[in-house]
Amino acid sequence: MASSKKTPRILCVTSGKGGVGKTSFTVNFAIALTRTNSRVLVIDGDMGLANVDVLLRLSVKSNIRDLLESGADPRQALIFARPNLAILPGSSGVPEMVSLGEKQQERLAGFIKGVSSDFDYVIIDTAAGIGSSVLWYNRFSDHNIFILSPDPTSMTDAYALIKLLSRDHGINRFNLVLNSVRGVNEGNHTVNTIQRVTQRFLHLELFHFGSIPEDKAVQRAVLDQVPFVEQTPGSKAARAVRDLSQRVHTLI
Amino acid sequence: MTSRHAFHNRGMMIGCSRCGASALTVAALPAHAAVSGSPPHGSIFWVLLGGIVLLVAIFLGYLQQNRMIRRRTAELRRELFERQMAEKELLASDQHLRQSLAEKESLLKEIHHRVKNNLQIVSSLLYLQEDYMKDAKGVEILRESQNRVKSMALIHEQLYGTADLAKIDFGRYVQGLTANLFDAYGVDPARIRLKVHADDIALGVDMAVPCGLIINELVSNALKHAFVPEAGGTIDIAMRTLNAGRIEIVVADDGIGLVEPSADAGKKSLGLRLIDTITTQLGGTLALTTENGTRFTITLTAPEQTSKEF
Repeated sequence: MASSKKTPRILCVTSGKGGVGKTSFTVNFAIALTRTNSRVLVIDGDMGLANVDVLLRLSVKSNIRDLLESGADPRQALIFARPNLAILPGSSGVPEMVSLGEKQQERLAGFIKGVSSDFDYVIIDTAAGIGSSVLWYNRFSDHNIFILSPDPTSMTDAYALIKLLSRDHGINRFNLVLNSVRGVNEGNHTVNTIQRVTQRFLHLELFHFGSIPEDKAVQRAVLDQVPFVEQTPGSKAARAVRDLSQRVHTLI
Repeated sequence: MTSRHAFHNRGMMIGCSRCGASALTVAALPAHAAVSGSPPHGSIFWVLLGGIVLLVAIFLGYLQQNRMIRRRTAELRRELFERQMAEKELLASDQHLRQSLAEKESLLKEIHHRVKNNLQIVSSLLYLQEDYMKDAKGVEILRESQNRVKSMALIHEQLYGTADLAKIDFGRYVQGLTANLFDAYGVDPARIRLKVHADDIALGVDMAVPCGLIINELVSNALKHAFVPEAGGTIDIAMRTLNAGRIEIVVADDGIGLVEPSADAGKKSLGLRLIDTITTQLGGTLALTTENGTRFTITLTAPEQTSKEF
């Protein structure tokens, strides 16, 4: 990835399984990144059931879908939620947007490139599942971040997505973030488990970007619709996310 | 002095066995016995101490065991996950193979279909040419050629019509082939009866084509020459597998018998020459008896694919 001054790094937060904390991670990671003096754009790529705005208590006037349909300037849809943090909201409850057609993909790529030139990082929060939009965002990004929890269903889904991306889309670099782990060992053990399977069947090495411990502060923050890095900056989860934001350059 | 020595020993035992509860009990027993003569409060102290140490040791053992169980559970979970993934991979590759096999099968069917169609076209072309042939002998030759081509077309037709694309039910094939010949020579099946015994013989295309041609020639020959016009008769076709992958084909009729048993090779008809050539090529033998009609017995060495089961 050639990094000229005006080229932002595009990260794609994905998981395969739903409910593992993609959106929560995206929002908190983005806020933590802004604290390192980076300008961050969060794109809610879950175009079927978007909810980045919910976690930040934002009121959305226009979303990605409106832009794609009207062809308006995407900057109009940006919401500046915090200093250095902009949000491009997704659409909710619109089934046809879950799968992207080729034309829409091209337009979306143009939009994102146009709007992202003012930022250092663009973080795309993808939908769960293996819909065409998820695959496209993964191809489009410079780095992916796979969020997974230590339970076998999450691991299975992550593996299925990794397999699909590596086999059919030529992606061979995967960064794993373990969420809701009970202790360092559980995180390492889970990565180790999934890594053994990917080595065996896909001949792939995965990068363990980090682990976020299980923390009641996270659930509370979601209920309060406030990012936990702001609500409880001293919590274990907030510290882990801050640590990850400081190591963002190590992503493969 | 002895009792002190025993205490000292017991202390050592406690010190070195942190979690071996059984070792402790063993060590505690002689100590208890040794202090039986000492003042009671000292005895209680040591008993209590022993008990506490025992409890601590049990607790430590429990903790260690618990940790071991957790570690082992985690390992088993990992193993389970790996196995589940391996199973999924195997299923996926199995499905992939099945799909690929299905594609190949339909391709093969398509090819057999086209081969059959092309052979049928060749046969039709020969039929069309009959109109331009004035000579009766020439018409007969064209008709014989048509039948040969049809006998081959029929094999491909059966190949794509069955589930097993590699083999055909030879009995069924012979029925179709002879019906075709009866039709071609305008023979009434009520006048000349046909008996086919070729049960449960499955032949691959390599073997079916030469066997089909042989039967085509022998039955054609019988239909043309074996019976006096308007008289009835029977043609028997029997096929069976012999040992060591050999096949025996018998075509017999109860007609007037073969007049000239092919003494001069130069004058042999094309049909008989074909039978000779095919038999030689497949390392077979040809036997002819002319008692009560004509009986051709041909044994051929079948390639691997011949089997009794269909």
